[in-house]
Amino acid sequence: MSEHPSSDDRLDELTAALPREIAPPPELWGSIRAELTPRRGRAWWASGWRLAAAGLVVAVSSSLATITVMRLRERAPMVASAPRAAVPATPRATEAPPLPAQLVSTEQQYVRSVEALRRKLDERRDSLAPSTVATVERSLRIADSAIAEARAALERDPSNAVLAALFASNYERKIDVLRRAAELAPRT
Amino acid sequence: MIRFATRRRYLPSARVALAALLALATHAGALQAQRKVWAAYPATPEVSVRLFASVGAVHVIGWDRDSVEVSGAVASGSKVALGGPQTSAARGLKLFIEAPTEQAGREGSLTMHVPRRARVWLKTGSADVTVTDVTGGLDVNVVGGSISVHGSPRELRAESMDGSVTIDGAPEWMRVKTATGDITLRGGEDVGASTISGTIDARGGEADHLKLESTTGTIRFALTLARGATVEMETHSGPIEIQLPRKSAAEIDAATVTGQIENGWSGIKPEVGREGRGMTLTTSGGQLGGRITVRSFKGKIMFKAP
Amino acid sequence: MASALSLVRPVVTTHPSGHAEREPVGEDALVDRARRGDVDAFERLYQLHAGRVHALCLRLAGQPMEARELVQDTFVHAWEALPRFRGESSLTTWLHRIAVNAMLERRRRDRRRSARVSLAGDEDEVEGAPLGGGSVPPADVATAIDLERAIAALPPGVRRAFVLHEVEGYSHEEVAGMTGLATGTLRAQLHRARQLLIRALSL
Repeated sequence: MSEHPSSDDRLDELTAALPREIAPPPELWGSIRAELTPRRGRAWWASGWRLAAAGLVVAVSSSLATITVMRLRERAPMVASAPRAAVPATPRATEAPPLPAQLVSTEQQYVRSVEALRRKLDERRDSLAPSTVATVERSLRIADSAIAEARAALERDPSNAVLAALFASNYERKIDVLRRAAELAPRT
Repeated sequence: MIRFATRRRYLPSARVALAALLALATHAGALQAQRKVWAAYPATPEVSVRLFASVGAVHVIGWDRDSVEVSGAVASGSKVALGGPQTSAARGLKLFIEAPTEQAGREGSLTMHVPRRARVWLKTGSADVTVTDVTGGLDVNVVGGSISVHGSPRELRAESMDGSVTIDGAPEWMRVKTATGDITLRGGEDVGASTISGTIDARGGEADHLKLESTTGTIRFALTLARGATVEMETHSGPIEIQLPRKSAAEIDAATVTGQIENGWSGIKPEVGREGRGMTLTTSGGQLGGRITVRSFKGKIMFKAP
Repeated sequence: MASALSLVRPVVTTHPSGHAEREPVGEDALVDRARRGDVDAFERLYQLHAGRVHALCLRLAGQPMEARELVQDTFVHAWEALPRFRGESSLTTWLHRIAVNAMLERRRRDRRRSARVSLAGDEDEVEGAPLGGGSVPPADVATAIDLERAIAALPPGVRRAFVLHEVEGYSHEEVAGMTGLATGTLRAQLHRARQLLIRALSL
C-alpha cells in the first residue's frame, strides 16, 4: 500500500488550507455606502421616543410621591477654541424635581447620547474652523435654553403630552447638531 | 471563430474606451494660487459619485451623457484624488479634493457633470453648492456654504450648519437640516425640514406629508395641501405663520404651552389652553382636505388667508 | 465617444474617514439596527463579513475587478433585502446566496449583451464535456501555479460548483439550491473540477 496521499487527498488538503477570508480593498465600503438608499419607514416624526414620552406621560397617575427621583447630570457645554469665550453653563439637572419615570428614562437616553457626542466633538474641536465651532456652540446654547424651559414647564405639568413631545423634540434637534458637528471633516 | 459584439450604450467595450485623463496646470500671475483640474470617466446612468471638496463653489449638473466630467480650479497645494476605473463605465466614483488650509478651502470652483440619474453624495466645507437637473439621489452636506437645488431629485438630503438651503423643486423624499441657516422649499411628497434658529419658508408648491420644525426660527407655510395631506409644524419659541385659502377644508389642530394663537383665516376663535395656560385652536374639515397639526411652546401661531 | 487617450495615473491620497468609534454590539443587534436604517450598523456588519464575501466573490469571479463589483452588488442588495431577512440561515450563508445570485445575474446579463459565438462552450453545458475543455494551463507549466490561480482558471460553472462545495463547504443540495442546477449536473461539475485541478497542480 502506498504511503503517499492520493491526488484527491492532496487536493483536499490544499483546499482546506485556503484562507476563508480575503479582505477587500479598503475603499470599497465608500462605493457601497454611496449606493445605499435611505430606509423610508413610517413618518419620521412618529419616533419611538416621542410616542413613548407623550403616551406614557398621559397615563401617569396622580401619585407622584411614589415616583423615584432620578438624579440627572449634564456636562458643561463645549468651550470655544481660540479665541476662547466664556460659555454660559447649561442648567444642571442634578437637583431636578421629579419627572414621570418614563420621561426620566427617555431623558437619560438623550443625555447619554449627548455626552457621547460631546466627547467626540471635544476631541475634534481643535481641528474645526473657529467659525464652525461658534455656530455649533450658538446652536447648542439655544437648544439647551429651550430644553431647560420645556423641562421646567414639564415639572409643573408632567401630564402634558404636548409639552412632553416638544421637550423630546428639543433634545433630538440638539443631538442632531452634535452628531453633524462630530462628523465634520478637519478645517471645516 | 465568429464574434459579434454588441455594445450597451453606456458600457463601451474595452477596445473603444472613454479615457480618464487628469490634467493639472498652474497659472502664473494673479491666479497662481490655483491650479486647474479636469477628469472624465465613462459612467453608468445611475453611477454613484462621492465628492469631497474643499473649494469655494461646486456646481453639479445633470446631463444626458454616460460620463462624469469634473473641471475647475482649486487652491494650489490641494490634495487631489480623482480616481476611478479607466477602461469601463464606472458604477461608483470617489473624488477627493482637500485644500491645504481653511482659507485655501474657500478658493476656486468645480463643475461636475453627471448622468441625470446619478446618485451624488457631496461634502464640502464652505462651498456654495448648486445642483441642477439631477434626478437620482442627492446627499449634500456643507458647513458654511449655501445649497441650491434646481429640479426634483428622487431623494434629497441637504444639511448645512449656517448656510442657507433652497430647494426649487419637489423631491419625492427630502430631509433638510440646518443649525442657523435659512431653508426655502416648495413642498414634495415626503418632506422634513428642521432648524435650530434659521427661518423655514415653504411656499409655491404642494404638500403631501410634511414636517417643519424649529427651536427659535420662524416657520412660514403657504403651500397647497394635497388630498389627504398631513402637515406638522413645531417650534419652541419661533413664530409660525400659516397661510391657507379661505375655502380650505383642512382640519386644524393647534396648541401652545404658553404662546398666543391668532386666527385671521376663519371665524373660529382660539381658546385658552389647559389649566389656563397657552391656547388651542381646532377645526374639523373634510377628510380629503388635509390635516395640519401645529405645536408651539411659546412661539406665536398665526393663521391667515392670502 | 472620445477616442482613447493616454492615461495619467491620478494621485492617490487618503483622508480621515470622519466616522466616530462605535461600541461593540452583538450581530443580532446590528442586524436589527441596520434593518431599521442604521447605516453605521450596516457598516459594522460589512466589516464583519466583507472578508468572507470577498473571498467567495474572488473565487467565483476569478479576477479582482469583477470580484469587487460582485462584493459591491452583494452588500447593496443585502441592504435592500435586510428587512426580509428572518434569520433562517446564518448571515454569512445569506450573504453568500446573494453573491451567487449576483454572479449568475451578471452571467445572464453578459450573455444577453453580447451575441458572441465562441467555441469555448457555454458554461452550463458541462455534462459529457471533454476533459480537455476549459482554460486550465497544461501540466508542464503547472508547477508555478498555486491552487487559487488554478481555481481562477476553471470554467465558470465548474469553478462555481467547486468553490461553493469544496471551499465554502455547502452541501450538494445547498449548492444546487443556490445555483439552480440539478444535483446530477452538480456532481459532474465537481468531478470535472477536481480532475482539472489535479492535472493543473500536478498532484
